[in-house]
Amino acid sequence: MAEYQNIFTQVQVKGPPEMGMDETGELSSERTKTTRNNTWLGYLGNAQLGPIHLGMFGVVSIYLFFVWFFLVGFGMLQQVNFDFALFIRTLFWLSLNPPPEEYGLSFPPINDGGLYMIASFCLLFSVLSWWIRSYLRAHELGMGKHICWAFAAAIWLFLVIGLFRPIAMGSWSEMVPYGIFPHLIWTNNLSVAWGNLFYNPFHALCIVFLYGSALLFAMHGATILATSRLGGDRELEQIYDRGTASERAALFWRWTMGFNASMEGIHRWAWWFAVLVPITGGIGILLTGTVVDDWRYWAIEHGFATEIEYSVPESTLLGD
Amino acid sequence: MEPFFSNFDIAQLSLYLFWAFFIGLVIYLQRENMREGYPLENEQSNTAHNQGMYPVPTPKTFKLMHGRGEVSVPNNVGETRKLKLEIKNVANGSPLFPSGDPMDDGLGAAAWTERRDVPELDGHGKPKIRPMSSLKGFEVSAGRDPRGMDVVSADKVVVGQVIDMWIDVPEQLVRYLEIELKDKSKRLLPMPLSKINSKSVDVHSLYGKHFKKVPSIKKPKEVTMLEEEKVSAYYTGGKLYASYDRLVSPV
Amino acid sequence: MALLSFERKYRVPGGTLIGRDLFDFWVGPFYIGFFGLMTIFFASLGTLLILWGAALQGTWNPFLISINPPALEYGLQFAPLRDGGLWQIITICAHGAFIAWLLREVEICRKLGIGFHIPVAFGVAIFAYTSLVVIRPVLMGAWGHAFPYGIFSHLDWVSYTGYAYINFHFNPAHWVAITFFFTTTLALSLHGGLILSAANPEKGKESKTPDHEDTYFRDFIGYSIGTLGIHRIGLLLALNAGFWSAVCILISGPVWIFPEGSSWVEWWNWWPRLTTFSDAQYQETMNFINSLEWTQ
Repeated sequence: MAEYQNIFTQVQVKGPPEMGMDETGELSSERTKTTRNNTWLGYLGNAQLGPIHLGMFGVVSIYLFFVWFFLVGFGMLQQVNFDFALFIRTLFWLSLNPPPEEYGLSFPPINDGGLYMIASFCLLFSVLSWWIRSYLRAHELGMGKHICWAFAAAIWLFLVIGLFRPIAMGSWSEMVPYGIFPHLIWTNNLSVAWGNLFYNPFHALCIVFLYGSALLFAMHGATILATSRLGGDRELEQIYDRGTASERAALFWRWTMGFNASMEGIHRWAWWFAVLVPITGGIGILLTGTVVDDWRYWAIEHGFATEIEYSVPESTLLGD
Repeated sequence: MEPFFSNFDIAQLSLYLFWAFFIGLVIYLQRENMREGYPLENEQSNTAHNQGMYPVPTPKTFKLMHGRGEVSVPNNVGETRKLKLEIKNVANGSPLFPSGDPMDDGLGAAAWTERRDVPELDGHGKPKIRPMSSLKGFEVSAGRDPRGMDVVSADKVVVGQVIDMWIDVPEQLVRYLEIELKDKSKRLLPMPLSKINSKSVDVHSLYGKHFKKVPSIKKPKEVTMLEEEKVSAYYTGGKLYASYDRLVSPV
Repeated sequence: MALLSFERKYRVPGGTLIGRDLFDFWVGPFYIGFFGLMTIFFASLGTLLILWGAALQGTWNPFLISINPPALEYGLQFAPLRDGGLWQIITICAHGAFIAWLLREVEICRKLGIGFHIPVAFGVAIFAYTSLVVIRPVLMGAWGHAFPYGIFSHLDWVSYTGYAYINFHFNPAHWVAITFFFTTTLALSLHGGLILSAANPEKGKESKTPDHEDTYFRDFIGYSIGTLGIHRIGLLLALNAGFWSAVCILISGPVWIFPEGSSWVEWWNWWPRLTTFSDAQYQETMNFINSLEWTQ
């Protein structure tokens, strides 16, 4: 097999930059005017960087994101009393923390979670603004809104963790601290505090779809690369006018596992598997501590766990 | 006796609702994936008795750009080609035997599909794939420039030289190398099936004797989707049929 | 029977790795071949042994059936069937079935004249499985370190094994693996969404071209990787997710790398150690870390 199997681009060509389609007649004027080329990107995909569309919602989103980012940094610096050396030494351990439990759903003092709440507002509106951008970019090109709705599914999980569940629990202290290790500890403690999240069926479904997405992309990516010698990567035209690349891709899986997708349909499988990760995950988190306070006990009650269990060392409960 | 709802809670209800949704989703997805290749048929090319457990979906229509009309799928158009295949073993599931040379007849690994005999167009309505020599402003920006190199087949025969690269213009990607054979006739070679070495371009899929039979294209600067099918499929056909030991296992 | 309407022209003999044309046939939509028979053999044997194990265990609740590996005392020896021997034979069957399935995929690729990307990718998945049930137990000296075959018992094992290192979330290779999984899913939703949104535009509009796909992503984030590139990066991300999952468990357990019972939380102390210049300063930094609310 003296071939590279098309896993990278052997010879790159560069022409006049592609400035993009303009369905409304105004899009071109709203884009940046220059592009750059990156050879390393070119070995894998397109070498061209830019142009990018400038619009109010994008700018607002990026601005608010940086406000959030710097507020988190400021909160961390406060933790180390603005000792920059200590900041470097302990960066991964630092965090901007949500307010303590006693404040409930009221707005806490600025130094006791108030800064965290302001930062969270910025992050929320940054994400929502970017979501509007994902809609408008598709709309102005006359395209479907599939990416926008997929993004909305991710926002659902984000809102469950940071808004709906804290409200249901009656305290902003349920929100996730903004820090590298602290958010891992939050994750760990959420599981330990509510009786092992592994017994939460929606957590199980979420992981199934997460692994399923990796499996699907491995299958789909590999299938398209394997048929790229017949133009399999030109998927849209294969959808409109089926060629031998689509036929072989379908037949490979039909012969292997008994059924197959079509060139358009595989992307429906892909979209749904990816989107179900945050949807099921969000349901699972929303139920945790609100409806169910011990998932292991719940599982025993519903007949899919037994009383025997592996012991969990005491030392794993950090924080609480 | 336990009350009916003793084991029932919102988490359980959510789970049942999810399963109901998910079963519906799988049925929908499976049917969406039945827009190509149905109705099923048997080896004799008659409609199969068993069409599976899911009904074929109602057709949907794509409106194509640049005045190319509409297509609807599923369209119930079966195989449009005349296939030179014979049934040697009547048992269901036995392979069908090509009655001639499968590479010439477009069968097995060399099979092509009757796509439209027009070039694929880019977003602006121009043919997407064009020879680099006809394009202004294109240059090689990285990697080895294969133009001028010898083309060497799997049996180490120099069959000709690379004279041009055919570029996917909007995607700025080399799709084909154009090669000139010893007899001065020209052929296309799919880029994914070429390996650019320091002095030559190696082609593993075909032997030297095959290159003359690679389908040629009608216009000097334009390739249609049907032609692309036939050219590419001829090369992939070589992966299975170029020599006896590729086709038949050693034991 | 049951051929797709375009399938006949591909249903030709040849391309097998072994057995010439002896097993070169289909059953319904399934291609068989020598390795298809091997898959059926190993998969059936393995399934029957699992059912036997369930009978010995005395439960038919699918969530509770668990085929456990041998106790640690057996080390790397064969164990009696009831005490993990079944697990050992089932593991052999699983490998037999997976590898046969991979080679069957190779035969199908050869018959269709397409690249071998799919079997190669499947090989990475097999490697991840093998690292859990063979490589790591061998490195640690006992089959008992492998995971049990059961829907919830394997989750118990994951839970237990994670906590054996105090907090597995602090394992850096676990970070990498999770990041790859999340990124793969993100990329998959973006790719699936982009193709669907181009083929299924707003009502009444014409279906779009790859030019529109590139334009959308350049407008949106300033870069579009392109139709070919997205499949390369997708495959790469997915394979890395599997590969780093294997790495993160292989570096937890073998004594000379990271013994069981040590803490991934404390492993990170190398950073304050590296960035402090005296023992006193290090102590001071650690005291500060230990004074943070969540570490108490």
